[in-house]
Amino acid sequence: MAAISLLLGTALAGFLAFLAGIFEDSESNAGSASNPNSQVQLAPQIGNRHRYFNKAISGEPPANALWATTAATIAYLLTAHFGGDAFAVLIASIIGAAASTLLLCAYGVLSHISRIASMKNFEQTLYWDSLLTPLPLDAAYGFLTALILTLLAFAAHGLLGNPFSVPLIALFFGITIGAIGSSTGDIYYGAERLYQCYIFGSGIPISVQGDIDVKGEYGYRNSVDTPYFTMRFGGLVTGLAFGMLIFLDAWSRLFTFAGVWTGVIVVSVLVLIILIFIYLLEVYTRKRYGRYTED
Amino acid sequence: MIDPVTATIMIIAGGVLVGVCVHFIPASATGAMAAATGIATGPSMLSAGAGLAGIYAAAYSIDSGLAPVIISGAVGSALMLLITILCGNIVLAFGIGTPPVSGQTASGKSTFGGTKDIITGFEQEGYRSPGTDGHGMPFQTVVSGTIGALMGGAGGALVFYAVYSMTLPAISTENAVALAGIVAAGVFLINSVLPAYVLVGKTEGMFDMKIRSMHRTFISCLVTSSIVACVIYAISWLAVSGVVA
Amino acid sequence: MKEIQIHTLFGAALLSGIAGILLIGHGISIGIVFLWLPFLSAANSIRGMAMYGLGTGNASIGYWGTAVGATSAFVVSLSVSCRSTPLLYVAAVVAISLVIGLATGILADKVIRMRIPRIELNSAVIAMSTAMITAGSLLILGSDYGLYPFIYIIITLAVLHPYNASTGAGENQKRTLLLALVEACMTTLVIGIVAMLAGRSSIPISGDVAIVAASACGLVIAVVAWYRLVKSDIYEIRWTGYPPAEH
Repeated sequence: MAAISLLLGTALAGFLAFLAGIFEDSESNAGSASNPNSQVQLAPQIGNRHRYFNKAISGEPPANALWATTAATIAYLLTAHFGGDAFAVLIASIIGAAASTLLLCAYGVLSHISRIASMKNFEQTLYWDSLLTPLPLDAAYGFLTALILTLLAFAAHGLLGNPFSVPLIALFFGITIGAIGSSTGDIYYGAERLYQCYIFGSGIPISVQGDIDVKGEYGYRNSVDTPYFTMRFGGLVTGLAFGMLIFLDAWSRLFTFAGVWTGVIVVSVLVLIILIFIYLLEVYTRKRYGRYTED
Repeated sequence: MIDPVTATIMIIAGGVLVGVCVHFIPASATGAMAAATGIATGPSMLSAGAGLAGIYAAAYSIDSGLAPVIISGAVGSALMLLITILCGNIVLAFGIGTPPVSGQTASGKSTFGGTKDIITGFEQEGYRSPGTDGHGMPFQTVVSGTIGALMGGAGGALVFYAVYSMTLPAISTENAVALAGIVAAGVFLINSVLPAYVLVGKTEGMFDMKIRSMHRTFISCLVTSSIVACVIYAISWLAVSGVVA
Repeated sequence: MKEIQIHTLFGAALLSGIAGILLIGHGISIGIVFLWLPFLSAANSIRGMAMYGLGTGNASIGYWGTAVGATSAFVVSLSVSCRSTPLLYVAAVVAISLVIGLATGILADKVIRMRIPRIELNSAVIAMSTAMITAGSLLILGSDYGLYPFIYIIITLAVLHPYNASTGAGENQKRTLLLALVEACMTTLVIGIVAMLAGRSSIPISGDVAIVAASACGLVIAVVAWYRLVKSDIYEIRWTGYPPAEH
């Protein structure tokens, strides 16, 4: 019985984590949060008045930790009221995620208005529609992220048997997914989507930073277009990263060949395999792209 | 179980390890624009993400004793960091179209001199895009990051296990685990921000000249975690001996 | 415009915070409104540190400061009951967070040699203010260890966000502090809602309703005041339109 619950938990956790990664990256890109936010912030100073949603809540890790922990705490308290079966967990998680989404909306609106108000010297106008159009989209991704992280925390606690309480696991997952999201998916937003006018195959020189694309496929660009673009690659890779982390971590505990050291041995082997993949990728890119020539 | 004095020393050692580990993990905020070498986020944020993943992994083996907890924490953290590096390099290779390259090494300013990767021997000069300070995680910084993550995860797990065994006699097992988890996270967050002051938001790991100012982090984290450890020792001693006000 | 000094604001926050905790300790849950001042003082000190070019380090300062304050409050709650002896509890929590915050600030100044004026004072103020807020929240929510992560992270965001959201050339202390008040009300509102669900015996459900009602009133007043200030600070507000073409 325990083995079945572990197997089920591993599969479920990996799947949920993959989805959570995709939604987390889309959420941060729809609001231009995290590190690429500095470019949206810099743009008006060099004359690029824009219509992006400037949702500067904080770094991604604390923000995601707040959404996930609020949702998980409310769900954790509600499950005690509802009885503890799977259906109760699902309903309680939805209610919790909805509450944390309201918090996200409040923080998002306050950040956008405050940031624009501090840009008076650069003649940046506050356009209500460029805030209110992406907000529901951003809130939808935020809802899905909080919901899935809450379900993931319940799965880790209940099926995989982690001794931490559900809200604490949600806090850890929130900070970890924020760190992963801001270091994988955000590169695609910050170095490719915001700077699509620059040639492919190069980092963004410090001298041109802030010169972001303010016009899109037609008319001025708004933040609704962003996840449409980034979800096709950056979001999937973020999902791959978080999904792989949770899945491999759970998978390493399915074996029992070396007692308490089994998990450690399996993870160490995985670490070596990933190191080899990183090496092969570096060799491939160096061959494929070659040196930069003077031009 | 371990006695409270050993546990106090473990909290201090864990705090120092957490502080020092940040120096080894390559991170830079401008990495998000592919304008600097290192994982594209702040050093303290990234270390917190990796370290908390380590504490999460360590919690599974809480019943197996000290050594499995520490080693699981260390490898759990390393797994998180390596997966992040792999996926970050995938985005750089296929989304941005650049090879990973170390900016410091390319300009001959790395700790060991020269313009070649110390481990693979790949030439770095000429591979970085014009006007940037490198991008992505070349193999030498990957190795440095792995060492850092192993240290960070082990440090977090040390604090976690120490607090767990100090508070266990006073409260139930379930509560001791929960309290130890949040206190370990707190000690991690306190110590991982101090080195960020030294690094000013950017480092390439142990191949960056900033590694030479590590003694400042070491002293700061030693003092801070000593105070925290003494407080935890005093409080848990009061709680265990039944002096509850 | 003259700025409020750190000492003045923190002095007021300390008195107000202790008054609030004593009130909550005696079952008068509405005393949580006295915890709004510590939120302001913590946000002001984060502003004082982050102004000197920390940039994205703003969020790190926030979660570092709250980690000091909240961890001291959590650890102390193990041995000193926040319910039966609230004054002793607050004194212990504030003293411990003062020592850790001050020590870290002095180390950052002397050993790490950060060029930030009054870093040690600001560190201590952030730690002590967040410690008081944590103590008050623990009194409201009871000592269920499952709720500790929530208390930690919601206070973190409320104190780091006001300056982070207002960053820019046109930032001023008054607007940042009003935003801090808005977020303080928002945070106590959420704490009140969670307290209703937590269902413990010390404070009756009517007390939780009172927290929510007081926070909601405060929120409306603070948002109106803040938005009035935004309208006077901002360049232009429009429903829709295109930015003027420049190049």
